[in-house]
Amino acid sequence: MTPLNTHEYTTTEPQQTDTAPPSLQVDSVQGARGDRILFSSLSFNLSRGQLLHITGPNGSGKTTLLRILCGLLTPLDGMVRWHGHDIRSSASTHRRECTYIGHRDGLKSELTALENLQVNAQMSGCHDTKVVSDSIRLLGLWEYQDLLVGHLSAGQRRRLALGRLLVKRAVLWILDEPFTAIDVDGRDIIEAQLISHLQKDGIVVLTSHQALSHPQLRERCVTISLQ
Amino acid sequence: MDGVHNSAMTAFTTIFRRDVKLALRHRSELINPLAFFVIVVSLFPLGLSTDSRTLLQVAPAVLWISALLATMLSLESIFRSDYEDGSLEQLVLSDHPLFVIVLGKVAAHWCTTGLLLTLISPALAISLAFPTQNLGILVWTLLLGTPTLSLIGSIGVALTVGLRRGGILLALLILPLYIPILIFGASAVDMSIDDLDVAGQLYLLAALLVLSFTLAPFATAAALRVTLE
Repeated sequence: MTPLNTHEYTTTEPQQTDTAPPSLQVDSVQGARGDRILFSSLSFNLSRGQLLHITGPNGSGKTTLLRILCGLLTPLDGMVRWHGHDIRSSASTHRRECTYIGHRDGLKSELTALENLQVNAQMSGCHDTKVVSDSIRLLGLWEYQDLLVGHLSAGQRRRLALGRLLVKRAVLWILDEPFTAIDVDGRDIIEAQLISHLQKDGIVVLTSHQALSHPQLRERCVTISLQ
Repeated sequence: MDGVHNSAMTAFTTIFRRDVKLALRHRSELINPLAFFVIVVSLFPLGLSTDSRTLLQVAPAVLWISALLATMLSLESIFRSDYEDGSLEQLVLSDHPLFVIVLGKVAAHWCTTGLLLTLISPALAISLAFPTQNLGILVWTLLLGTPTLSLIGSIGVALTVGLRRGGILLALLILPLYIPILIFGASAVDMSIDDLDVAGQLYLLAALLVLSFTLAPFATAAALRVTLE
């Protein structure tokens, strides 16, 4: 129930061009799960090329905040703006430019790894089969592409779920615990993708209990700690 | 405008093909409603009597009620697994209109349940001493009625899929809406046996189908957004 104000979270100033208007504006948002208010008066701005790392203990509302940012949940109070427009009123633009990877992978266990990624690619308007096969290779799942997802390990499923980022090419990436169950190699692959996304002026919002290891990520990183 | 139309069409076919593929790989879910339909209908001649007049009297109702219950048993599969594995969130967040995705899913559901029920219904009807010259009307009523059952059912499932034990609530929600279809469907079959004109009932079933086709996907889409909150 502790209200969280703008100045209460620690900010590590990233190198940013002050002229660029913030793309994602969160304006005194209040989030709740059931009857419990998790955070209120939460405000921050994110510009292109920035990464927001949300930390906090279990149950502090990290997932709730992410679901508000991607438009699955309506905040009790306050507003989230994407390029200056409320994401509820300009939902289709926001949805087109945003990819959300929740803590559930969103994969069908009766389809193969390749089929899953193909469906994801087609649903995000990518019909280039090369993009899909390149992504599978990049994720280190090339030998497993014809295996049913039900037979993959948790880490491999997580990698495949993150493959959605590679086939959709959205500006805003919202990732809920992207590194869960993922090994060191996988973590390197994902961090490399995050860096190249930020370098291409993308925005990343993620929750993770581990600190980001790569220095290039840390220098672009803003941290919010939910109580 | 053409581009928007094309991308919506792609979303529909992608989801339709995905769901049909999933149903074919999940054999038990495909066979369950059919087995239920076959078992219930074939028990009637055993339990009732072998007198063909008695059987013929109840045949339209038995066939229609069994088809309706078989459809209802299979409804949960429209959204249940997608809800549990997180695919539903992704579908809701995709940049295609949600009602198009819903239509794709309902179409796939109908092809793997209602259509199959319709196709095997003549064989079962014959076991109820159904006159062969009226089989066409039976197939027509089911062909017009079962898609409506899937469409209306999808609203109920979208509302209850977030509940752990939504089964009974689902039945309470959608059964009242199924009753008109049951009445017109069964009475059309009944009247066709007495050689009466059934065009009126068939038109009404078709009208209900068009009505649910135009309204249900929007209601389902709205219900899904509420469920995921």
